[in-house]
Amino acid sequence: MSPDRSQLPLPDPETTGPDAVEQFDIAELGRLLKEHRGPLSLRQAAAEAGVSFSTLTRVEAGAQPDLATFTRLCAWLGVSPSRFFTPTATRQVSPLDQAITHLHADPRLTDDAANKISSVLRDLYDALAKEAVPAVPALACHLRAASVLRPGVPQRLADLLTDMNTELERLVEAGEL
Amino acid sequence: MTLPRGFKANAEREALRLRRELDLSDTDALNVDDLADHLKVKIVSAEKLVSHTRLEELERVQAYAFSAATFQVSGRNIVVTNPLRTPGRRASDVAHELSHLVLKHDLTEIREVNGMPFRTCRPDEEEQATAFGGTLMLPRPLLLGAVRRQWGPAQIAEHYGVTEEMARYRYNTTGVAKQVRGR
Repeated sequence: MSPDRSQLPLPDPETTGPDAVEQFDIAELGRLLKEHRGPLSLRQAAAEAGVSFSTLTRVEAGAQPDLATFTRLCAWLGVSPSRFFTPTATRQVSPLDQAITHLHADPRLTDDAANKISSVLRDLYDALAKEAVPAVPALACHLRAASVLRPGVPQRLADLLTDMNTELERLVEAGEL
Repeated sequence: MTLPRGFKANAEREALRLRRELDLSDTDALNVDDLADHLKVKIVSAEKLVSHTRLEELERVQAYAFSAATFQVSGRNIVVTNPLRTPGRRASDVAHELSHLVLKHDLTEIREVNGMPFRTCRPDEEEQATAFGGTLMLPRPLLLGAVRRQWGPAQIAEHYGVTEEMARYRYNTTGVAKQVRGR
């Protein structure tokens, strides 16, 4: 186990667990709401967003909304709720970070024990996971398909969609679309 | 899962606004290909991209496994439809896909099909697109007119080129029959 790896910052369960209020960027929510509202009055905007006038006023001013209000406001803004839990543009939480956060949240483990297991996990992950990362970037493709796919369908569908995307790229490049 | 408050009313307004842009009255049938043109979205039948046989084979393994997809290629949105669908079903599929674009839904969810990652929309956005797609094809004034002529979902579907399923969904969720009866 390399000593430098053990120095890597671990996600702190205090700030990534369920009580991570400080991770919620309330100021950004208020700013976006104001921006999105534009010339609309608070009353008009609240009606559009489906929240009460007083709630919208408070949230714009920096108060923390409840979950139902938050969900409605995100829908109105057209942004993903996760945006406000990431101070930087987008924060990708890897499965490894998630696992480590869970370890740190486990009351049966001391900090030292959680760090040791995390360190082993990191080593294993570094050694084994890289090969498994898909080489293909995610296709930007909204798919209207059956929600449950029967055996044999996923393979055929994935191949079809990949081939459709390739052909579309070719046609666009050739100026035929 | 429920639609955000105010969504349905906004959808009705937006549907009528788009119809005005297309020089259609509130009660005209909407041609989804015209709407796609207007929104500068290309619609391509899947058989132009892959063989018909492969699409039929997929259909044999599971009917309706693939209905439509919107691809983002070089910053452009291209809707790919399944040629094996009926015209009504195709219209519903295209209206649904165009709804995602009108509603500016981001492709934020990752869905894996056989290990192949696809960026797609959230489930609540799917519900919104279905509701908005239905509103685009069958806005309230159109349904009211149809109900006053004593048409049921089957006749509405036939006349306006949508699936009976969609006509029934709009007929039942907009309360138009009740409104006409109440007069």
